[in-house]
Amino acid sequence: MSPAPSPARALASVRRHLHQMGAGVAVVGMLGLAAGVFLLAWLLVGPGWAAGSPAPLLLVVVGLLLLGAGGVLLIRFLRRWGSDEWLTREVERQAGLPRGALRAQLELDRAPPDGASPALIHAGSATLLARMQGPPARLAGRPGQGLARLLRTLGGVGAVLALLATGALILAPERSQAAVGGLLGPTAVLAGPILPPLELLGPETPIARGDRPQVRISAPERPRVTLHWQLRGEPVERMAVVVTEGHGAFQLPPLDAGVRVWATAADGARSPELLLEPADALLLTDLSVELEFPRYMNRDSERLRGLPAELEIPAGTRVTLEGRISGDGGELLLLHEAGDVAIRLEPVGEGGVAGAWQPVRSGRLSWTTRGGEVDPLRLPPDFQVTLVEDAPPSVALPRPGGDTELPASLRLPILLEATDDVGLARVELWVAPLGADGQVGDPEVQVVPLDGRRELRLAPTLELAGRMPPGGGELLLWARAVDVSPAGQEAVSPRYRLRAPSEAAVRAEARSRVGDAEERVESLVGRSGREARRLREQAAEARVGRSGSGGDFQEREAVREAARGQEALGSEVDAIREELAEARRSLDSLGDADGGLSERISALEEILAELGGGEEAQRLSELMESLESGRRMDTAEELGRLAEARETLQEQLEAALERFRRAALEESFQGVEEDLRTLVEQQAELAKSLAGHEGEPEAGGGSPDAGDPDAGAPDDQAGVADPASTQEALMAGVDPVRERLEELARRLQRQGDDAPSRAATEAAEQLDQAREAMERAAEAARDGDSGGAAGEAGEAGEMAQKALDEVEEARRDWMEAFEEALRAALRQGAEEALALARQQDDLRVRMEGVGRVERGELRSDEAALVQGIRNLANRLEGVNRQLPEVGRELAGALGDALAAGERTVDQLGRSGLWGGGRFDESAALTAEALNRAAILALSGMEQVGQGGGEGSAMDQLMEELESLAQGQEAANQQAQASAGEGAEEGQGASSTEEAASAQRAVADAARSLADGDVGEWSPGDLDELAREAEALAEALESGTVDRELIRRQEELLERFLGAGRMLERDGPTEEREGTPAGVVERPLIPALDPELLRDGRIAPPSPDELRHLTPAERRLVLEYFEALNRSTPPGGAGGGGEL
Amino acid sequence: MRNECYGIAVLVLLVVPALLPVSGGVGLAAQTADSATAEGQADTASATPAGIPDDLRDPETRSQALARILEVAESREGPVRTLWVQGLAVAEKTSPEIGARAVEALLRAEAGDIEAAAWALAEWPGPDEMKGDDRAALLALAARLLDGVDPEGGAQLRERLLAAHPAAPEAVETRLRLARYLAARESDEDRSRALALVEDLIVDTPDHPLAPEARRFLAQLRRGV
Repeated sequence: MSPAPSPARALASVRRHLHQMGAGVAVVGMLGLAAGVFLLAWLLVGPGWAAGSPAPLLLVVVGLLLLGAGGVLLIRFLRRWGSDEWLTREVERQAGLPRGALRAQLELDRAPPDGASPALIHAGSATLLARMQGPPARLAGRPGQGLARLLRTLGGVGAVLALLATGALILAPERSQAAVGGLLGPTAVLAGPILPPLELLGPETPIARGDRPQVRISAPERPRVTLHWQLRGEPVERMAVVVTEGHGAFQLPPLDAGVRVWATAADGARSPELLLEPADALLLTDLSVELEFPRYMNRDSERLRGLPAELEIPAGTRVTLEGRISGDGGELLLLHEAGDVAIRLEPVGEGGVAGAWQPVRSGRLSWTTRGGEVDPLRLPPDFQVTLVEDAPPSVALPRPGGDTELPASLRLPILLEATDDVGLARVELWVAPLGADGQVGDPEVQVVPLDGRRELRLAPTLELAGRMPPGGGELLLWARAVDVSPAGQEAVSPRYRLRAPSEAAVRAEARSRVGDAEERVESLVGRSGREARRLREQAAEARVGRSGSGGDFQEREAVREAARGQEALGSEVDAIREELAEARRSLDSLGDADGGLSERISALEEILAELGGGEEAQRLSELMESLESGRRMDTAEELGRLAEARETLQEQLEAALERFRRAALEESFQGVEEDLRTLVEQQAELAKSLAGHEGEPEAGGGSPDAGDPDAGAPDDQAGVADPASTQEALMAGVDPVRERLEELARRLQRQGDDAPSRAATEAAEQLDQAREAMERAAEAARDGDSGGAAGEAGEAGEMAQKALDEVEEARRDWMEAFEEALRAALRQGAEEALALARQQDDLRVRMEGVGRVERGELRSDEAALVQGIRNLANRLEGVNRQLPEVGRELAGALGDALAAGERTVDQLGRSGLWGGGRFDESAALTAEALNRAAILALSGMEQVGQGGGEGSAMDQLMEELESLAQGQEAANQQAQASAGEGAEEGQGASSTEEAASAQRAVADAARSLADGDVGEWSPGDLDELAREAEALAEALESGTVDRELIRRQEELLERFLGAGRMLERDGPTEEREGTPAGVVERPLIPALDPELLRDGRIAPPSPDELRHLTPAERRLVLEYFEALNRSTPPGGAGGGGEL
Repeated sequence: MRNECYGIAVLVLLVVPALLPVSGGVGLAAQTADSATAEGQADTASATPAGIPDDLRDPETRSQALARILEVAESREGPVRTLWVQGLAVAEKTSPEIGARAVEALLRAEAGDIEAAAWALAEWPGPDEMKGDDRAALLALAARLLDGVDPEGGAQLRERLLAAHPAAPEAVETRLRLARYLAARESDEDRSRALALVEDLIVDTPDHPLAPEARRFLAQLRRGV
């Protein structure tokens, strides 16, 4: 419970207030005094208190005195005004109480007299309290106000001083630290020892401009000092320097101008200032160097300011030095290392010097003077002159980069690079024929002038057609570069041999171009169709929207664009034709070995040559002229005409496309067959060689050649250096062929030729099997198993042969199907033309004596006939595309028939009283033209039979020969059976008859073949074969069966088989080479080992031994052994019948 | 009436050249090989049109025989030329024997014995391996020969052709001609048959050169003309 308020308590609160104010004044005053003392010390300390300085002590003393004085005054003030007497008087004055009222009340409250009424005393207190309302600050009156005012004043001053002190602390912490340090230890400062002064010592020698002078500091009894320096125009910089044993040193930055240097220490010591001025070291100023390069470099002269430490210049450069010289340096010279004078600078004008020389050798040059006193420091430094000689150029042909085979097109892209350090004058490209005898023919050179370029990189394509030396040989290619130097330095690239492309490569390239042409024609078909549709739409729009025949600008532009598009299409057709022509020309080197490819390509060119030419081209040209001249035109009509031209072109292209597709397929077949044939031959060769390897180590000494080190093995070994690699190389060639087979199968299927497509797919599968066998062969060869490798290689060859047979059969089937379809179409066409001719004949009969009414009927019938002729022409269009020559004539005949028929219709429609007349003539012409068309179709049928027909006739001949061979084989077996059974009674005669009958059948067939049409293409003399067959038949019929007859029969069979093989491979192959006959060593054939005949039978070779033979050869071997065994009686050799 | 006029014209055109000196015929005598033969050389069997069949049979002279048929055809005019061209077509597309038979028929017809020639050709059995199309060609030629002299016989042969070889190249024209013959008869059954034949022709071969004529004829049939 708080005590009750009373005047005494109120007075106490006022007194408390005054004391609080006094405390505040004391604190603020102390703080302000401290700040002020600090600030004074900071102002006086400088870099540090000087030793013995009384200032810190004075400040402290003064501060303390002020503090003491202030404290005393404050206490006295507070005592006075805190007493009852003064305080109550002030309170009474402030409260408006009568003087003494409060004091009296206090006394009453403090010591109430005896008899005083407490209530009265209390009431009096209350009355006084009521009038003493207000805060103690108000009741404090004048002393309170004075203290408040003093507090505010001291607070403001103190705040300002504190702010200043804070700023001094922040901005100059070291100085502040020094000031405070002095204040805290004023006696130490006063009593500090007086240290020796600081001294600075600069360099003893003049300082060259740009040098870094070293300043030495003497600061005894000090651990460190602060070095200050100020360059002219720059701010002051400082650095603390450690002093060791009273000495220190510091290297100033490079001097370009005067600098003031001084040092200070923590004890406030400061050294005198040192002024350092740099001295100009160079005697030569404003030195410039002009370089004049040799004229052939075609390079502007250069000017350098100052002289570099190293001067690298081309040899022949003239150097001119210019500068200003200060002082009397005498004669200024540049000397070589050897001491000889390189250049002497001569006075030029006022204070200038100049000199020029052409350095002839690299080296270091130094300056010197002759006469005059010159401080060496004032001479320019030495410098190095390096002469760079003009290096010869370099030239290379990174492409081809080495000997190479030319592509089939004989266009070789090359890359030529040449460089020179100064510049190239020219680059030359040389091509020279290299004959088979190694003689280099007259070269051709192409010069590329360069005018000083330093680098050249060219990627031209060389056209080498016509440059290949005749009769084989190669081309040499090289490049030569010459630089711009007066000596004309040159460089020559390596010479590369360019071999002519192989025939297969040339053909493959030409075929590839045919395929490309097909794709381009197909693209053009689509494009012309789209453009035709667009033009039709534009024509329709123009027709609807036009207001006059002039056409507006947009329509004319549409016409212009369409005309240009038509020209562009024509250009593309020409481009395709040119590509084909180029392909054809590339085949020129093959001569007859191109397999007719040149002719086929030529036919395709002719197709393209007929497109869009003639009248249409003329019309287009006139249209372009009209557009250029701004002549008025009917744009709708022109657009329509151009659309029609596009459509016509599209039709022509579609017709051409069929031929191109067929040509491309044919070339695909040819290409695949060629590749397969090569593969088969090479595989057979490898198998044979491997088989030869297998036999060699086991060969005994029976042969006189066995001891001849030059015979047999070395040559054979040279033929197949690495069978495994050879097999792998062949294996690598299988995949591309397989891909082409698959592509061929796809194309055939797209065209609806399913059977040939399946055959091609089957051939691809057989090729896969061949590849697997090759893989096994290669593996066996790597393992050293020659026998196994030979067997597998042989099997691979067989599979490849099967694939080839499959492809050849597919091609024959495809061609036959096509030819048969053509023949059927022509046959049908001939029949239909004849049917129309017969109709016309019937109408002609009716025309005789016909009246007006009947003429109307006839006219309608004739119109129907004319429509029929149109139908016939449309039906024969496909034939026309495939047989252009026949088609042209056929179309001509049908055209004549159509024209004549239309004239007949027209004439029948004219009024006339009498029938007959000229319409009969027209009708006669119509019939004649239709008959002609029928005849042309029939002759075209013959041509199809003949044209590809040589193939089909040859196929037929091959079939016949195969049939003859089979018949002969059967006859041989019969005869051999008859001879084997001759010893048995009663059966020999019937066997002989059968043999004779079989032989007679063969003779008859051979005779029929030799005498027939097919025999015209037969290789060899079929007639002779027939005669031989007949002679054998006669012999058998007479009962003669002897060894000679059997031999002749075997020989006849071989001749039949040989004739068939010749037909199959009727062209020369690249690998076929004729070699002159050599001496044939005929080894003596020893007698058979009797042990072989121990059981009366001669064992045939084992399957392993037969693996490397072809099936036909195996059959012959086995039959031979069978015949041998049949002819050998049991129990011994040499006996047995006629054999 | 029409057919009779036609037949007379054929007969005249066939007979007259047969009476002419043996050579290439009217107008082309100086241009044919036969004329050279007729002028001075010995007259051999192979130098006359009559020798053509034998030449056709001989493989060595077949090509020349075909050329001579062409020459004969070009030396004829009007329907006779068409007949010879038809004979050439038969010789070209069939075996030598069949071709020879066809030419023999033509020669016999030119000599005046048209019906006998036609029937002999139609009735000739031919070799066992004779193809259907070859048989159809002979029947068509025989029927054409009979058009002028024995339309009914021609119709019979055409019926046989359609029955035995409906897919032969000659079948389309055969239908139309047979339909014309049937339509000319007064019988409703024949007219219906003719209608069916023409409709089948149009449906099966709408693009055939004879289709326009067939459509016109069909319209006439339907109109009852």
